[in-house]
Amino acid sequence: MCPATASKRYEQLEHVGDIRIKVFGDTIEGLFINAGFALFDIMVTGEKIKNEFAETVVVSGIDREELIVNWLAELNYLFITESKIFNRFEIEQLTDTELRATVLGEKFNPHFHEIKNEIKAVTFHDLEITEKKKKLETKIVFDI
Amino acid sequence: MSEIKLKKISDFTWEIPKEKPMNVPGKIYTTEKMLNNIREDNVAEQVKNVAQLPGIINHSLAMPDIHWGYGFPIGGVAAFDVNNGVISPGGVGYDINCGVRLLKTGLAKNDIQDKIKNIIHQLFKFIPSGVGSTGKLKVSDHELKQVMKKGARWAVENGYGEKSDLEKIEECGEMAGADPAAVSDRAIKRGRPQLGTLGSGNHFVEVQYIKEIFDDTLAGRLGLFEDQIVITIHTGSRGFGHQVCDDYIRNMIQASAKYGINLPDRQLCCAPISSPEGQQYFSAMVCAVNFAFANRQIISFWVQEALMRALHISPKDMQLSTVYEVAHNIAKMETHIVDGKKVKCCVHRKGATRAFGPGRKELPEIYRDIGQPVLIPGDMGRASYVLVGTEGAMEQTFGSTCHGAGRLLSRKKAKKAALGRSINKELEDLGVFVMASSRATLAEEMPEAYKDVSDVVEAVVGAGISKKVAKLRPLGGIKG
Repeated sequence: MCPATASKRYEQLEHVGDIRIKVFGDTIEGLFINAGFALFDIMVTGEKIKNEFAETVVVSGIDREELIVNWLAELNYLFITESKIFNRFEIEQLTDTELRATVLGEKFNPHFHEIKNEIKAVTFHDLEITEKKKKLETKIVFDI
Repeated sequence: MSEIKLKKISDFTWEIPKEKPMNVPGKIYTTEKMLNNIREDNVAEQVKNVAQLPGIINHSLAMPDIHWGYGFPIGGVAAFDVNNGVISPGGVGYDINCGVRLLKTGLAKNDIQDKIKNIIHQLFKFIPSGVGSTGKLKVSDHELKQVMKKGARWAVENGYGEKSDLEKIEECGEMAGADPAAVSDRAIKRGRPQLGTLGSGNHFVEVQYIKEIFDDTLAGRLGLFEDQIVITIHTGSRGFGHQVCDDYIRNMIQASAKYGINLPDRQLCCAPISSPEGQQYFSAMVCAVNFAFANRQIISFWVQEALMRALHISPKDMQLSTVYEVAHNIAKMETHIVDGKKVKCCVHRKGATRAFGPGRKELPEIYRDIGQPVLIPGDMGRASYVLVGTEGAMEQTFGSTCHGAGRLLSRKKAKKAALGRSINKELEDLGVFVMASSRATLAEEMPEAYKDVSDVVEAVVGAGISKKVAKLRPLGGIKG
């Protein structure tokens, strides 16, 4: 498993209408990996996803805040349009504006996976990636 | 906790006084009873943020069903001067033209009460619902472009419903200004399989009866009577609208920087209405508006099919027809009187309903003298309302009012509160039979997760921005 799983990956915060999470990471790569895991863990149970195929995901953004939203939006788009779900994320290249990753997962199967939430969109609301004592965190609101 | 000071203006309105960098004050419509929820939520901050946007007119408004959104609050209304104001995808929301249609029948409660379970089963069978639901309808890219331009008319031309439905839909179900070229391939790929689907979350089809008539004349004009069976449909533009919004938020983040617009929250990104970016978003948004109009038209047709199957009666005996259909996530170019002068503005309603008073040319002729019908769905267990718009709404809120009950509990809290309970059974005890695609949805959407819609309606009626016509009680429904 990736080193980012060593500590808490994310937690769900209160939000009256939608879903708000706080994601943690020891490194910027870890933060992106944990954000990807959180997305699928909220939709279906992340631990239950098998790694049957790999896919390359490439996204860009004007800064790392937009990049993390675009990364999650791309993963969500792969679920919505191709029923693909992932729980392993290997970051190959990450700058403030570009990300390239290999993601591993399987096809969603209603007999094995239960949908807990449908995420319509990953929002930019109140978005900021912060660094405290060499730990990174960010809060993200999903429109559901 | 919100530390923003709210100044009481009347029993139904509170002001957030203007301070830097707000361009206008904020104004919240509520009752004293609901004010505490508003204080505990983060919404006043969001109302204040919207007040900072360029070209906003009079107030950043919040309806009594307001709750915390992202960027703009849900239940927010903001009008911007077309000459120096902005248009914002976040001010419309992801589910572009999410809205409500009310259908009436010639049936009374006694005619169907023992058949309600069968009706709900048939509705569940006929109308695809749930997460990522895809339709039984297959459209080509070319047809989808026609949907984007023609809206509900496309559905009628393809055999879904009657031409007479169209005049009873906001914009006659076909908003002008659509440009399919402004819509991304991603939106098309996401939206095409979802035409003719209900979706998930708070979307539903509900069978109701008229519990109480408040105004006999207005009810008579809308063709409503006590104990009558009516059906409410609540859905929107599905993944198509979500993707249009998502695409344009990215464009607008860059446009905001280009035009030097200071954003208190990225989700409020926007561009001048007259700019190429603003115009392009508007053209794409209209495509999604029309997709949603077509979607509700198709679902209305399936409601009729389901009722025919469940009740073994002909359409003629059922007398199913549209009362009205409203949009509640939309931006529209409208003319309003501001400081005694006619001003063309772009009114953003996000979780708010247009509620034009009598006389407006935008209203269908049959309703023009009584004001626009406004449809306010409540939660699954309590009630819904039919209202009409008033002159007061024209004067105070750019012809706008509330759109529903408004959430009280977060989905997380609702699920926790539902642990160990059967929400289905509790609803059945209230005389409401519900089928949902997922148990989680049912828990999240349980009645106590919402404010009491009657309190919300009391605030808009008390403030004079709407007038009560009828109260509806649910008998059953399908949820996504």
